[in-house]
Amino acid sequence: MSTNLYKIKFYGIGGQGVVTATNILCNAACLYDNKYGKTQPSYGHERRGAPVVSDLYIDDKPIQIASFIYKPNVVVLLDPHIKDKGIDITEGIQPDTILVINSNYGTTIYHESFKDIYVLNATKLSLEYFKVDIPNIPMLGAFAKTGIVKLSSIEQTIIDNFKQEPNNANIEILNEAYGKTKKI
Amino acid sequence: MKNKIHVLDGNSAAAEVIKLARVKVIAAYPITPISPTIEILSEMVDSGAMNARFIRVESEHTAISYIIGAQLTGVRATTATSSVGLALMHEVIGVASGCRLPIVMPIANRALVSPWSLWCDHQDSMAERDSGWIQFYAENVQEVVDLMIMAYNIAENSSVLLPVMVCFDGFLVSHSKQLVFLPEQKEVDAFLQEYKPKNLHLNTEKPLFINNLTSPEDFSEMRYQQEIAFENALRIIPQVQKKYFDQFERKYGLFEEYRTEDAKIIIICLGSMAGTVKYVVDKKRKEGLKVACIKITSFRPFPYLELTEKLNNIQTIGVIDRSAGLGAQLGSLALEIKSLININNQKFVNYIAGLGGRDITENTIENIFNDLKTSNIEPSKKWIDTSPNACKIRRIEVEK
Amino acid sequence: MNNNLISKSVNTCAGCGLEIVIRLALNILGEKTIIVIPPGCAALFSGYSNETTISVPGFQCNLGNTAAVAGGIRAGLDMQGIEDVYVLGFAGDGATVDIGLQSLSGMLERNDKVIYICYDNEAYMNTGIQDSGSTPGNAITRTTPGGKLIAKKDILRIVESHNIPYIASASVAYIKDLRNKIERAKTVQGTSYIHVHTPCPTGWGFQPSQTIEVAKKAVQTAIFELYEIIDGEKKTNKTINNILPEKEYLEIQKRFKREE
Repeated sequence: MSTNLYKIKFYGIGGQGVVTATNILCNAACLYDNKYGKTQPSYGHERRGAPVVSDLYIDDKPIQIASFIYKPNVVVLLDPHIKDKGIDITEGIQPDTILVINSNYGTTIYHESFKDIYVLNATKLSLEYFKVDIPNIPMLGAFAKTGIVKLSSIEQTIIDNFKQEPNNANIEILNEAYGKTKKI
Repeated sequence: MKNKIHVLDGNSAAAEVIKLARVKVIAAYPITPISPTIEILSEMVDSGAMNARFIRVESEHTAISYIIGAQLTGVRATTATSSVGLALMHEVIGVASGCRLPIVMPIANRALVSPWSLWCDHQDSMAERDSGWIQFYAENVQEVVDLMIMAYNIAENSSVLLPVMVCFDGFLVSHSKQLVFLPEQKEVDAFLQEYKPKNLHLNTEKPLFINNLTSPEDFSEMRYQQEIAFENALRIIPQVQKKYFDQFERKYGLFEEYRTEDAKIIIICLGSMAGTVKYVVDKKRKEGLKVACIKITSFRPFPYLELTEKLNNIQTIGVIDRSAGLGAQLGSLALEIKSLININNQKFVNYIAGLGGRDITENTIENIFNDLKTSNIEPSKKWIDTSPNACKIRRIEVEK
Repeated sequence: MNNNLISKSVNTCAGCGLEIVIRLALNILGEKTIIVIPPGCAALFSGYSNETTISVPGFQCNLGNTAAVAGGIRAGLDMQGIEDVYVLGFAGDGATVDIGLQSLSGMLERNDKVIYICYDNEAYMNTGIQDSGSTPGNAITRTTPGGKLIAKKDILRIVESHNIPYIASASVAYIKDLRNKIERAKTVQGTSYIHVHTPCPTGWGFQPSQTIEVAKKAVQTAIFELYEIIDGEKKTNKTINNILPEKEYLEIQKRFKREE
């Protein structure tokens, strides 16, 4: 198995921008980091508030595998209360799997399970900036701390993606999120 | 590397190629999972990025009928569909092939009802495998791009003149964003000639009545002409693939061999699962097992001669079908393969997997390789990923 | 008829009403017409194997997609800037009011520039006289041996609800009126729908020589009304001052007579 193959699993709830987050990372990796990315979002009967999972592969070479991720080496959690909705984010994790998590809430629960945890209160940041809880962009800032995708690449992708809208706030929140993310 | 890098999912890739091929009429009806393709096309037409007519028609039956009418006047016309949409077209898709209209239609593979499923399997397109359409199966988004571009060239070749379905797995490819190289307009213009209708054409300068009642004296001959077209396609497809390679540096064949050189055990499959099979082949090779994969790119025409030669010396062959082939001894792909090998000397097993969106995982493939190492010749299908208590689910009165 | 765009040696049933309609239509529309015909009686004109009777380009579609194919042909012509060609959908009642209703509705909704003529012989005649949605109540067919229990579907009202620029009913008994209507359809920017009452001696049970008489009686008894709707304005073309009793129409046809 290629050691550079990242199997990244995003968990959140409908409306938090989970699929958008994986798409942005995929674009950033492919277009600006000279890597290969592949998203494998799972679709069903969509509704806001339902748990959403989206998978992302990143590698230095073309990605062959075409299935969902069962043994992630990175887990990104946008909704820290997802455990209450019956979703176990430790499913399939390996000894070296790392977690990027929104808020301090989950750190004690998941402390034993993950090798490293990157923590950011993305909800708080999102509420400060946008008055709504859409934590996906700040969580991308937190994700950049892992070093898997460069912060500048994510920033550039966000600029590309939100061409029509004023995106200064998105860039600011991304950078502030990156700065505030703590590894524990 | 040739061409510009993009990140596209299968649906947007199909739409981009339709635009690059300068298709003039698009008629479509929304259906999961291919609706994004038609949404993107409608945007392209609306914004003026594409000079075409876009019509959201009232059914897939009308979509295919409408584009047959349009293409008969001498322009490229297309639609896109999935699952029951393709099934609803069934009555009319034979008209496209019988009238020798080189229509290229993307299909996002999705299971057929019943029960309802939104997700991938191949029963929709397999049900149309004898409809007179060429069928290509794409493994990933790059292949959607490349196979669709080549499809126009192949379909419109005067010794072929057959419509083409470019099939890609619903969600697994249709909604998977991947890095792709997308040719630019001028490169595609250089590869595809401007569309000129050959054979049948509705033109008041040269009146022709098309598709009338045909007597038993002529009918077989008309079918035979289609058969010859498929034989020609077996020759033309590699030529077009070579031309494509020369221009775009991406290599294709009627099928793709992966690490077959000294292989003893081989899995034959089509669609996105081939990627996962190749991934597992690499893993198993590291363990010293001589395993390999053959991915069928062109299911129609089926490359029987070349495959017979390739499979001659393979000890053990497993075929994965992503549709059940109900009532048949084997699944659709396995039936084709079995007719090419010597069942007395070669071990042959057919696996049914990945129905109705069931994921074909690394584990599924490893189980298949393990099974191929140990099991004997199976005269019938093996439902490799089906739960052992299948008959107890919902229909408890069924016994096995 | 001046331009013979249909061969003279076509064999429809003697006294066939439809033959009058198709000959007249192509005579008026001329060489620059593309005709779409589904399977059915009119497909006799599509021809057989290597031969056709029609000298304009034509296409035999499926039973349920006349309007869809015709709309597609128009789109293809439009995209090539070809504006001087008429697209004619020419279908019977079954292909229009039953299996083709969905595609007809789609075309009407889009207002595709197509002239759609429905020759209404009030049953599936080509398959051997089975009732259609357009078969009138009490009519005997092979599938309504005791007389049809359901009334005739009012396709003209269905068409009208789509607000297309031109709708007309017509009859083979009133050729001048039919001619005027096809002429008007030529000028319409959008869909024109002409519904032609087309008696069928074979299916209705009358003498081939009585086709025009039967058609005329349908109008004179006010069973079939001649009118047109131009941009939403309804205009009656034939006002009947002395409406004849219905039995004068019904009694000259065997299909309304139940054998005791």
